[in-house]
Amino acid sequence: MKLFWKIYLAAVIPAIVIGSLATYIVAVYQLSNEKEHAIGANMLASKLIAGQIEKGYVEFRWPFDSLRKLSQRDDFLFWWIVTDDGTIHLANDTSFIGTGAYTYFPQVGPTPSNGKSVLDKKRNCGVVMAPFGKAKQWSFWLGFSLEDLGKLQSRIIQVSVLLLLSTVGMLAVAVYFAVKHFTKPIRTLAEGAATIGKGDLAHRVQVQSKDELGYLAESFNEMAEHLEQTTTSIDNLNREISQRKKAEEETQRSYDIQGVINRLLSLSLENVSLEDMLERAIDDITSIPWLSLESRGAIFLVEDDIEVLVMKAQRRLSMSLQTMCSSVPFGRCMCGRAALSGQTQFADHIDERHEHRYEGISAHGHYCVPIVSAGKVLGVINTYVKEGHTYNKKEEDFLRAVSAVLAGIIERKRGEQKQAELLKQLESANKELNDFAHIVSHDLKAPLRGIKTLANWISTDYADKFDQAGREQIDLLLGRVDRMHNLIDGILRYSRLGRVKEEKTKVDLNELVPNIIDLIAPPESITITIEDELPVIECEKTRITQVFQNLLSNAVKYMDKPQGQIRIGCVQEDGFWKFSVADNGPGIEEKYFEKIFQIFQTLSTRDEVESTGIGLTLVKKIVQMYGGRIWVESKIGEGSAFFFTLPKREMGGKNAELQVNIVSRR
Amino acid sequence: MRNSKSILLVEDDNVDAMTVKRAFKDLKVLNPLVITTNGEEALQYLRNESNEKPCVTLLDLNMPKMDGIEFLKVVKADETLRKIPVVVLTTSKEESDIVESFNLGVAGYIVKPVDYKRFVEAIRAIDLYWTLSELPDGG
Repeated sequence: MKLFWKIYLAAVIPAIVIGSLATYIVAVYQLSNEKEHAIGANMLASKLIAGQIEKGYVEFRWPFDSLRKLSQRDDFLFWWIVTDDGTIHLANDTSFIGTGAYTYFPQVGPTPSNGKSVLDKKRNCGVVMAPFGKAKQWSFWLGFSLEDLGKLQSRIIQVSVLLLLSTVGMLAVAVYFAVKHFTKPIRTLAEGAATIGKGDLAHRVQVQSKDELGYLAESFNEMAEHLEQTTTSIDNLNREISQRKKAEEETQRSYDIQGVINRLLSLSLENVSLEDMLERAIDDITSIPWLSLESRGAIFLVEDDIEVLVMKAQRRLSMSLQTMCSSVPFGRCMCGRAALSGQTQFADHIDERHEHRYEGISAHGHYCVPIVSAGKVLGVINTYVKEGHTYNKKEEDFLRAVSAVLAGIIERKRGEQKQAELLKQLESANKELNDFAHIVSHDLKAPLRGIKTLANWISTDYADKFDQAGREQIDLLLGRVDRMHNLIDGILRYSRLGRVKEEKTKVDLNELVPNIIDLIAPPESITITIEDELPVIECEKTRITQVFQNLLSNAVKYMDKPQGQIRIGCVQEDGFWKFSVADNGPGIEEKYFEKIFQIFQTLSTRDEVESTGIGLTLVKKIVQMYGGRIWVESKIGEGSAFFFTLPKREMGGKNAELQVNIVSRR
Repeated sequence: MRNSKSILLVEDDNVDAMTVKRAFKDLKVLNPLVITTNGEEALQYLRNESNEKPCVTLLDLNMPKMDGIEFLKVVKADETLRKIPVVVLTTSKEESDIVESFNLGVAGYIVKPVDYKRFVEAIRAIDLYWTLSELPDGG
């Protein structure tokens, strides 16, 4: 039952009850009043008439007028003059005369002197008795009808009921509106709650009363506000959760893809053969749970640019298939078609494209994905799906991703293979060259020694047989033999650079360079100065000696000035030691700056200055072996400066720095 | 030399062998010079009981069939042959050759001078040394 009706009935029912009771009480009161009144009026009349009769009896005057008036009253029934024995002496209706009054009204006892009234409800009448006479031996009985009283009663009841009904009706209406007004905010709240309950969280109730309901509405709105916020956050949360779930699935997918790709890539970095890797790739691809692939498959590669696919790896393929598909020409069967078109071939059953089949081949479908690199088909990944499998772009995308990675790996592996082969070739070529240089020079030297010895003996043993020209020629021969010997020695030294490794030691150039200068023993006209503190470097002592020795002896050898000056310097530059050997000699033309470092290149003719042309080549090779650089700056007539760098880090830079500091503090 | 026992020359180069022979002659070294052209041949000579053991072996390194280092390895492992002093007489200036030779117990290592006069000086030094130095009594 609605609250409205509860409150309404609670208000109306007591109102009706109370109203009815009040009406009833008023009606009863009114009615008894009327009765009293009727009795009193009749009593008064009967007493009056009794007095008049008594008086008239004395004066012999009969109160005809009064009796007539009396009988004209609406409620008049009868009048009797009754003797004290109860006999009706006179009556308006003569038929009663002589009869006993008490027989009609047995309930009436002896009449007291002040009169008496009796109501006979059965006959709906009343009787008043007024005694008169000296000894009050008479009494005037006036019978009156109570019919009017009954009428009155029913009227009173009618009026009361009407009154009651109208009151109750008005009350009901008034209460209806009052309650309606009172419950309206509650209803609004209830409806608001229902609306919010249905999900319209933006709904607010409009209650503007300043009582508890208004406060309740305010609180309700606040609550709705909170609810909305909370629900909004929950909604967002739910949305986020579902998005996350989706993203998670997507992530899992990418994770799986990444996992496969990562494994392949890291595997490709290990020393694993391409075939092993491809097998692992098949296992990896087919192991992904969300991918509907069967755990078998094969990978084909194109070899030597011939348009034929060669099965390089397979997993769980039947022997018949392994034989049948060991090589598949482009365009044939599913894989051949994938290779020829460069497009993925999908089949949900063994269709007409599936040309390779055999008796009892089990039903299946395929994804055949080409492995393409730079528009060139390198091979095909062949995977199996169950018969009736629906094509899924995600699956193809995944296989394409794997194929792209495999393409890169295959290219790289092949590149690596090629590189390794080249490197091996290069290494052996290099070794051969070194050995060759070594052996050849050795073998060249032996006969040369023989020539020299023999020429020597000829010139001494047969000295008297030679004329001047003969002797000159034999001397020239011996000179040329010496030169050739030097050249061969040069080659030997050069080839030894690459072949022989010496242990690196700490070399204090401040000690070594002066020693080298002593060894060269420059003529007195040439002064060699060390201008900077030199570092202590970690290197092969022979090598660094060769570098300084060659540069210095060149400077000395080619000096053309009467006051020769050679300066040795060293500065730090960008993590390198930059050494310089500068002279004031003849200088070198710029066009020869490169040439002088090439093997057997000298700028002066051999007969002018005896030189093999190997020195600077050796220096360059040594400097380059240490990761440095060598170059020359020069001006014709003014001199040359040879610069070379050595990386500090590789030359024990830290120690060197320390050493230099100590040196400079000294 | 201290005695007149033979000197074994292991040398494949004819001219070099001639040079040694000539130097011996020039220096008036009287010890007979036995010339073998490679390690195998030298071993055969040394192991032949009918041959007198030489007092010194002059050994070239670069030779066909069995080179000087291989020869040294065999000789120095041989109880009866290891005491015969071996002087390496070679064209090789390789550090590795020098180290290996001394590791194998050579008595000297001389790089053949290209110039004959200096070659003679080298032989003179060898002769002088082995004149001063005691030699083990050959078996």
